[in-house]
Amino acid sequence: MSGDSLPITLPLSRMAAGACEVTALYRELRKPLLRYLVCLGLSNDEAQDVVQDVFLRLHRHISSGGAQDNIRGWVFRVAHNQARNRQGSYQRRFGESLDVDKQAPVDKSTPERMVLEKERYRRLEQAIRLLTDTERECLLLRAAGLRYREIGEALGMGTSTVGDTVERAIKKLTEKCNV
Amino acid sequence: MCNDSGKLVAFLDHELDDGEMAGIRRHLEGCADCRTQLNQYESASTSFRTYCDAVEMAEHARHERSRWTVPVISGAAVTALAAAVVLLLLGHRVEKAGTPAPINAAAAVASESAPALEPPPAPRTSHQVHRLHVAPPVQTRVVELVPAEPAIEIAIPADSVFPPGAVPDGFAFTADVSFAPDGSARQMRLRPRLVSFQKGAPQP
Repeated sequence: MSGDSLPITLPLSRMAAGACEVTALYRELRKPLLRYLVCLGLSNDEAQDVVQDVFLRLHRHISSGGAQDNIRGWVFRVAHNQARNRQGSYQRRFGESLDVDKQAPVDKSTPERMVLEKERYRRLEQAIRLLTDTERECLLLRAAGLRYREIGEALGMGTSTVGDTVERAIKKLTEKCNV
Repeated sequence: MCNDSGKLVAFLDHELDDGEMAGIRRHLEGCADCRTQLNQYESASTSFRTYCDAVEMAEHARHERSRWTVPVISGAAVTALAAAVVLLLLGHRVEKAGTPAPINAAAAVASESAPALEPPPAPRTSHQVHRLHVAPPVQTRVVELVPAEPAIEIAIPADSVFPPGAVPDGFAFTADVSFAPDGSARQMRLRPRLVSFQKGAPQP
Protein backbone atom coordinates (compact mmCIF):
# COMPACT_ATOMS: atom_id res chain seq x y z
CA MET A 1 0.00 0.00 0.00
CA SER A 2 1.47 3.32 -0.97
CA GLY A 3 1.71 6.08 1.52
CA ASP A 4 -0.58 8.56 -0.24
CA SER A 5 -3.49 6.08 -0.54
CA LEU A 6 -3.73 5.68 3.20
CA PRO A 7 -5.81 8.78 4.01
CA ILE A 8 -8.42 7.77 1.45
CA THR A 9 -8.54 4.06 2.22
CA LEU A 10 -8.88 4.35 5.95
CA PRO A 11 -12.04 6.49 6.08
CA LEU A 12 -13.63 4.35 3.37
CA SER A 13 -12.97 1.10 5.20
CA ARG A 14 -14.11 2.71 8.42
CA MET A 15 -17.26 3.93 6.72
CA ALA A 16 -18.02 0.47 5.33
CA ALA A 17 -17.57 -1.12 8.75
CA GLY A 18 -19.70 1.64 10.27
CA ALA A 19 -22.45 1.02 7.74
CA CYS A 20 -22.58 -2.66 8.75
CA GLU A 21 -22.85 -1.71 12.42
CA VAL A 22 -25.55 0.83 11.72
CA THR A 23 -27.50 -1.73 9.69
CA ALA A 24 -27.28 -4.29 12.47
CA LEU A 25 -28.35 -1.71 15.07
CA TYR A 26 -31.17 -0.55 12.81
CA ARG A 27 -32.52 -4.08 12.57
CA GLU A 28 -32.28 -4.54 16.31
CA LEU A 29 -33.52 -1.19 17.55
CA ARG A 30 -35.94 0.13 14.96
CA LYS A 31 -39.08 -1.48 16.37
CA PRO A 32 -38.42 -0.76 20.07
CA LEU A 33 -37.40 2.77 19.15
CA LEU A 34 -40.62 3.34 17.21
CA ARG A 35 -42.67 1.99 20.07
CA TYR A 36 -40.82 4.17 22.57
CA LEU A 37 -41.41 7.29 20.48
CA VAL A 38 -45.09 6.51 19.92
CA CYS A 39 -45.51 5.90 23.65
CA LEU A 40 -43.87 9.27 24.30
CA GLY A 41 -46.75 10.81 22.33
CA LEU A 42 -45.39 11.11 18.79
CA SER A 43 -47.54 10.14 15.85
CA ASN A 44 -46.52 7.26 13.62
CA ASP A 45 -45.20 9.63 10.94
CA GLU A 46 -43.28 11.73 13.45
CA ALA A 47 -41.78 8.60 15.01
CA GLN A 48 -40.66 7.35 11.59
CA ASP A 49 -39.02 10.70 10.87
CA VAL A 50 -37.20 10.67 14.20
CA VAL A 51 -35.98 7.11 13.69
CA GLN A 52 -34.57 8.01 10.27
CA ASP A 53 -32.85 11.05 11.67
CA VAL A 54 -31.45 9.08 14.61
CA PHE A 55 -29.88 6.43 12.39
CA LEU A 56 -28.48 9.08 10.06
CA ARG A 57 -26.81 10.69 13.06
CA LEU A 58 -25.66 7.28 14.24
CA HIS A 59 -24.02 6.66 10.87
CA ARG A 60 -22.21 9.99 11.09
CA HIS A 61 -21.28 9.29 14.70
CA ILE A 62 -19.75 5.92 13.93
CA SER A 63 -18.12 7.10 10.69
CA SER A 64 -16.43 9.93 12.52
CA GLY A 65 -15.06 7.49 15.09
CA GLY A 66 -17.42 8.40 17.93
CA ALA A 67 -17.60 6.40 21.16
CA GLN A 68 -19.52 3.14 20.92
CA ASP A 69 -19.31 1.75 24.42
CA ASN A 70 -22.98 2.48 25.18
CA ILE A 71 -24.35 2.82 21.69
CA ARG A 72 -27.91 1.64 22.47
CA GLY A 73 -28.18 4.25 25.19
CA TRP A 74 -26.76 6.83 22.75
CA VAL A 75 -29.42 5.95 20.15
CA PHE A 76 -32.26 6.29 22.64
CA ARG A 77 -30.82 9.53 24.04
CA VAL A 78 -30.79 11.11 20.57
CA ALA A 79 -34.33 9.84 19.93
CA HIS A 80 -35.48 11.13 23.30
CA ASN A 81 -34.04 14.59 22.61
CA GLN A 82 -35.59 14.66 19.14
CA ALA A 83 -38.97 13.77 20.67
CA ARG A 84 -38.55 16.54 23.25
CA ASN A 85 -37.87 19.00 20.41
CA ARG A 86 -41.32 18.17 19.06
CA GLN A 87 -42.91 19.74 22.10
CA GLY A 88 -46.47 19.65 20.80
CA SER A 89 -46.46 15.89 20.51
CA TYR A 90 -44.29 15.29 23.55
CA GLN A 91 -46.77 17.07 25.81
CA ARG A 92 -49.41 14.40 25.15
CA ARG A 93 -49.17 12.21 28.17
CA PHE A 94 -48.67 8.49 27.89
CA GLY A 95 -51.66 6.78 29.46
CA GLU A 96 -54.24 9.10 27.97
CA SER A 97 -54.06 8.03 24.37
CA LEU A 98 -55.71 4.61 24.54
CA ASP A 99 -59.43 3.97 24.27
CA VAL A 100 -59.69 0.86 26.40
CA ASP A 101 -63.12 -0.12 25.12
CA LYS A 102 -61.96 -0.19 21.52
CA GLN A 103 -58.19 -0.55 21.44
CA ALA A 104 -57.05 -2.60 24.41
CA PRO A 105 -56.17 -6.17 23.43
CA VAL A 106 -58.52 -7.82 25.90
CA ASP A 107 -59.40 -11.49 26.16
CA LYS A 108 -62.93 -11.77 24.77
CA SER A 109 -63.40 -15.49 25.31
CA THR A 110 -66.09 -14.87 27.95
CA PRO A 111 -67.98 -11.69 28.85
CA GLU A 112 -66.73 -11.86 32.45
CA ARG A 113 -63.13 -12.20 31.33
CA MET A 114 -63.54 -9.27 28.95
CA VAL A 115 -64.97 -7.02 31.66
CA LEU A 116 -62.19 -7.97 34.08
CA GLU A 117 -59.48 -7.30 31.50
CA LYS A 118 -60.95 -3.93 30.59
CA GLU A 119 -61.11 -3.01 34.25
CA ARG A 120 -57.47 -4.06 34.65
CA TYR A 121 -56.47 -1.80 31.72
CA ARG A 122 -58.38 1.12 33.18
CA ARG A 123 -56.62 0.76 36.51
CA LEU A 124 -53.28 0.44 34.75
CA GLU A 125 -53.98 3.63 32.83
CA GLN A 126 -54.84 5.47 36.01
CA ALA A 127 -51.66 4.19 37.62
CA ILE A 128 -49.52 5.25 34.64
CA ARG A 129 -50.96 8.77 34.89
CA LEU A 130 -49.79 8.95 38.49
CA LEU A 131 -46.15 8.23 37.52
CA THR A 132 -43.72 11.10 37.21
CA ASP A 133 -42.23 11.83 33.78
CA THR A 134 -38.90 10.29 34.78
CA GLU A 135 -40.54 7.16 36.18
CA ARG A 136 -42.64 6.76 33.06
CA GLU A 137 -39.68 7.22 30.73
CA CYS A 138 -37.57 4.80 32.75
CA LEU A 139 -40.31 2.17 32.45
CA LEU A 140 -40.71 2.84 28.73
CA LEU A 141 -36.99 2.38 28.12
CA ARG A 142 -36.99 -0.71 30.31
CA ALA A 143 -39.91 -2.07 28.25
CA ALA A 144 -37.81 -1.39 25.13
CA GLY A 145 -35.23 -3.83 26.50
CA LEU A 146 -32.60 -1.38 27.74
CA ARG A 147 -30.41 -2.11 30.73
CA TYR A 148 -30.21 0.33 33.63
CA ARG A 149 -26.86 1.64 32.38
CA GLU A 150 -28.33 2.33 28.96
CA ILE A 151 -31.41 3.99 30.45
CA GLY A 152 -29.07 6.19 32.46
CA GLU A 153 -27.20 7.18 29.28
CA ALA A 154 -30.47 7.94 27.48
CA LEU A 155 -31.94 10.05 30.27
CA GLY A 156 -28.74 11.47 31.69
CA MET A 157 -29.04 9.71 35.06
CA GLY A 158 -26.80 7.50 37.14
CA THR A 159 -27.32 3.74 36.98
CA SER A 160 -28.24 3.44 40.67
CA THR A 161 -30.75 6.29 40.29
CA VAL A 162 -32.32 4.43 37.40
CA GLY A 163 -32.58 1.30 39.57
CA ASP A 164 -34.30 3.23 42.34
CA THR A 165 -36.64 4.99 39.90
CA VAL A 166 -37.63 1.76 38.18
CA GLU A 167 -38.28 0.05 41.49
CA ARG A 168 -40.38 2.96 42.75
CA ALA A 169 -42.39 3.02 39.49
CA ILE A 170 -43.03 -0.72 39.52
CA LYS A 171 -44.15 -0.58 43.14
CA LYS A 172 -46.54 2.27 42.31
CA LEU A 173 -48.01 0.29 39.44
CA THR A 174 -48.39 -2.79 41.61
CA GLU A 175 -50.09 -0.86 44.41
CA LYS A 176 -52.42 1.15 42.23
CA CYS A 177 -53.37 -1.69 39.96
CA ASN A 178 -53.60 -4.15 42.83
CA VAL A 179 -52.28 -6.68 40.33
CA MET B 1 -40.44 -6.98 55.53
CA CYS B 2 -37.39 -8.90 54.24
CA ASN B 3 -34.06 -7.16 53.71
CA ASP B 4 -33.88 -8.50 50.16
CA SER B 5 -37.33 -7.24 49.13
CA GLY B 6 -35.79 -3.96 47.94
CA LYS B 7 -33.73 -5.81 45.36
CA LEU B 8 -36.54 -7.80 43.83
CA VAL B 9 -37.09 -5.46 40.85
CA ALA B 10 -33.38 -5.39 40.09
CA PHE B 11 -33.37 -9.20 40.44
CA LEU B 12 -36.26 -9.36 37.98
CA ASP B 13 -34.27 -7.23 35.53
CA HIS B 14 -31.05 -9.23 36.02
CA GLU B 15 -29.30 -6.07 37.14
CA LEU B 16 -27.56 -7.62 40.17
CA ASP B 17 -24.15 -9.25 40.09
CA ASP B 18 -23.90 -13.03 40.16
CA GLY B 19 -23.41 -13.27 43.92
CA GLU B 20 -26.46 -11.13 44.70
CA MET B 21 -28.56 -13.00 42.16
CA ALA B 22 -27.71 -16.31 43.77
CA GLY B 23 -28.44 -14.88 47.25
CA ILE B 24 -31.88 -13.63 46.20
CA ARG B 25 -32.63 -16.93 44.50
CA ARG B 26 -31.87 -18.78 47.74
CA HIS B 27 -33.97 -16.34 49.73
CA LEU B 28 -36.95 -16.73 47.43
CA GLU B 29 -36.96 -20.50 47.96
CA GLY B 30 -37.75 -19.96 51.63
CA CYS B 31 -39.82 -16.72 51.56
CA ALA B 32 -43.38 -16.95 50.27
CA ASP B 33 -44.02 -13.21 50.74
CA CYS B 34 -41.10 -12.24 48.50
CA ARG B 35 -42.17 -14.81 45.91
CA THR B 36 -45.67 -13.28 45.87
CA GLN B 37 -44.21 -9.80 45.63
CA LEU B 38 -41.89 -10.85 42.81
CA ASN B 39 -44.86 -12.31 40.91
CA GLN B 40 -46.75 -9.06 41.35
CA TYR B 41 -43.81 -7.03 40.04
CA GLU B 42 -43.48 -9.37 37.10
CA SER B 43 -47.20 -9.11 36.38
CA ALA B 44 -47.08 -5.30 36.54
CA SER B 45 -44.09 -5.27 34.18
CA THR B 46 -45.88 -7.54 31.72
CA SER B 47 -49.02 -5.40 31.90
CA PHE B 48 -46.99 -2.28 31.22
CA ARG B 49 -45.34 -3.87 28.16
CA THR B 50 -48.74 -5.04 26.90
CA TYR B 51 -50.07 -1.53 27.38
CA CYS B 52 -47.15 -0.13 25.33
CA ASP B 53 -47.96 -2.63 22.57
CA ALA B 54 -51.62 -1.58 22.65
CA VAL B 55 -50.68 2.12 22.39
CA GLU B 56 -48.41 1.37 19.46
CA MET B 57 -51.09 -0.72 17.73
CA ALA B 58 -53.71 1.98 18.32
CA GLU B 59 -51.44 4.62 16.77
CA HIS B 60 -50.66 2.29 13.87
CA ALA B 61 -54.39 1.69 13.28
CA ARG B 62 -55.06 5.45 13.44
CA HIS B 63 -52.27 6.03 10.93
CA GLU B 64 -53.68 3.39 8.56
CA ARG B 65 -57.17 4.87 8.82
CA SER B 66 -55.93 8.37 8.05
CA ARG B 67 -53.82 7.03 5.18
CA TRP B 68 -56.89 5.51 3.53
CA THR B 69 -59.38 8.17 4.57
CA VAL B 70 -57.69 11.00 2.66
CA PRO B 71 -57.66 9.21 -0.74
CA VAL B 72 -61.23 7.96 -0.25
CA ILE B 73 -62.49 11.44 0.61
CA SER B 74 -60.51 12.95 -2.27
CA GLY B 75 -61.86 10.30 -4.65
CA ALA B 76 -65.41 10.95 -3.49
CA ALA B 77 -64.91 14.69 -3.94
CA VAL B 78 -63.53 14.22 -7.46
CA THR B 79 -66.40 11.86 -8.34
CA ALA B 80 -68.96 14.33 -6.98
CA LEU B 81 -67.33 17.13 -8.96
CA ALA B 82 -67.35 15.05 -12.15
CA ALA B 83 -70.99 14.10 -11.56
CA ALA B 84 -71.87 17.76 -11.03
CA VAL B 85 -70.16 18.74 -14.29
CA VAL B 86 -71.96 15.95 -16.20
CA LEU B 87 -75.30 16.96 -14.71
CA LEU B 88 -74.64 20.58 -15.59
CA LEU B 89 -73.87 19.67 -19.21
CA LEU B 90 -76.92 17.40 -19.45
CA GLY B 91 -79.11 20.11 -17.98
CA HIS B 92 -77.80 22.56 -20.58
CA ARG B 93 -78.68 20.14 -23.40
CA VAL B 94 -82.14 19.56 -22.01
CA GLU B 95 -82.65 23.30 -21.92
CA LYS B 96 -81.61 23.54 -25.59
CA ALA B 97 -84.01 20.75 -26.54
CA GLY B 98 -86.75 22.61 -24.72
CA THR B 99 -86.42 25.82 -26.79
CA PRO B 100 -89.49 26.58 -28.93
CA ALA B 101 -88.85 25.09 -32.38
CA PRO B 102 -90.47 26.34 -35.62
CA ILE B 103 -93.73 24.62 -36.36
CA ASN B 104 -93.17 22.16 -39.15
CA ALA B 105 -96.34 22.35 -41.20
CA ALA B 106 -95.03 19.97 -43.84
CA ALA B 107 -96.40 16.98 -42.06
CA ALA B 108 -99.75 18.64 -41.64
CA VAL B 109 -99.92 19.66 -45.30
CA ALA B 110 -98.86 16.23 -46.44
CA SER B 111 -101.38 14.46 -44.29
CA GLU B 112 -104.21 16.60 -45.58
CA SER B 113 -103.66 16.93 -49.33
CA ALA B 114 -100.30 16.78 -51.02
CA PRO B 115 -98.19 13.64 -51.30
CA ALA B 116 -95.64 13.43 -48.59
CA LEU B 117 -92.44 15.22 -49.40
CA GLU B 118 -90.81 14.26 -46.14
CA PRO B 119 -92.35 11.12 -44.76
CA PRO B 120 -92.05 10.54 -41.06
CA PRO B 121 -88.66 9.02 -40.36
CA ALA B 122 -88.68 5.25 -40.37
CA PRO B 123 -87.09 3.46 -37.47
CA ARG B 124 -83.40 3.47 -38.20
CA THR B 125 -81.45 0.31 -38.65
CA SER B 126 -77.80 0.05 -39.40
CA HIS B 127 -78.21 -0.54 -43.17
CA GLN B 128 -80.76 2.25 -43.58
CA VAL B 129 -78.49 5.05 -42.45
CA HIS B 130 -77.30 7.23 -45.34
CA ARG B 131 -75.09 10.07 -44.34
CA LEU B 132 -74.41 12.75 -46.93
CA HIS B 133 -71.98 14.65 -44.80
CA VAL B 134 -70.75 14.90 -41.31
CA ALA B 135 -73.24 16.60 -39.08
CA PRO B 136 -72.19 20.14 -38.21
CA PRO B 137 -71.17 20.72 -34.60
CA VAL B 138 -73.96 21.74 -32.30
CA GLN B 139 -73.87 25.44 -31.69
CA THR B 140 -74.61 26.38 -28.16
CA ARG B 141 -77.02 29.21 -27.73
CA VAL B 142 -77.97 31.18 -24.71
CA VAL B 143 -81.52 30.28 -23.83
CA GLU B 144 -83.75 33.32 -23.83
CA LEU B 145 -86.51 33.48 -21.31
CA VAL B 146 -88.67 35.56 -23.69
CA PRO B 147 -90.32 33.14 -26.16
CA ALA B 148 -89.25 33.48 -29.79
CA GLU B 149 -91.59 34.93 -32.39
CA PRO B 150 -94.02 32.29 -33.62
CA ALA B 151 -93.12 30.93 -37.05
CA ILE B 152 -94.74 28.44 -39.39
CA GLU B 153 -92.75 26.29 -41.74
CA ILE B 154 -94.57 25.07 -44.87
CA ALA B 155 -93.10 22.63 -47.38
CA ILE B 156 -94.20 23.39 -50.96
CA PRO B 157 -93.52 21.06 -53.93
CA ALA B 158 -91.29 22.86 -56.48
CA ASP B 159 -93.54 21.81 -59.40
CA SER B 160 -96.43 23.77 -57.93
CA VAL B 161 -94.44 27.05 -57.93
CA PHE B 162 -92.06 26.83 -60.88
CA PRO B 163 -92.76 25.67 -64.43
CA PRO B 164 -91.99 22.03 -65.12
CA GLY B 165 -88.31 21.43 -65.71
CA ALA B 166 -87.20 24.69 -64.13
CA VAL B 167 -86.18 22.96 -60.93
CA PRO B 168 -84.16 19.71 -60.97
CA ASP B 169 -85.81 16.56 -59.67
CA GLY B 170 -85.59 15.97 -55.99
CA PHE B 171 -85.71 19.65 -55.04
CA ALA B 172 -88.44 21.15 -52.93
CA PHE B 173 -88.80 24.46 -51.19
CA THR B 174 -89.63 25.24 -47.62
CA ALA B 175 -91.28 28.50 -46.81
CA ASP B 176 -90.63 30.04 -43.43
CA VAL B 177 -93.60 32.28 -42.72
CA SER B 178 -93.90 34.55 -39.74
CA PHE B 179 -97.14 36.21 -38.82
CA ALA B 180 -97.97 39.52 -37.27
CA PRO B 181 -100.19 39.59 -34.15
CA ASP B 182 -103.19 40.52 -36.31
CA GLY B 183 -102.81 37.27 -38.29
CA SER B 184 -101.34 38.71 -41.49
CA ALA B 185 -98.19 37.19 -42.98
CA ARG B 186 -95.26 39.35 -42.08
CA GLN B 187 -92.41 37.56 -43.77
CA MET B 188 -91.95 34.51 -45.99
CA ARG B 189 -88.65 32.98 -46.96
CA LEU B 190 -88.14 30.05 -49.38
CA ARG B 191 -85.41 27.54 -48.67
CA PRO B 192 -84.50 24.89 -51.29
CA ARG B 193 -84.13 21.30 -50.06
CA LEU B 194 -82.90 18.04 -51.48
CA VAL B 195 -85.87 15.89 -50.56
CA SER B 196 -85.06 12.79 -52.59
CA PHE B 197 -81.87 12.10 -50.60
CA GLN B 198 -83.59 12.72 -47.34
CA LYS B 199 -86.26 10.19 -47.96
CA GLY B 200 -83.64 7.53 -47.51
CA ALA B 201 -85.87 4.63 -48.33
CA PRO B 202 -84.24 2.15 -50.74
CA GLN B 203 -85.86 2.12 -54.14
CA PRO B 204 -87.27 -1.22 -55.18
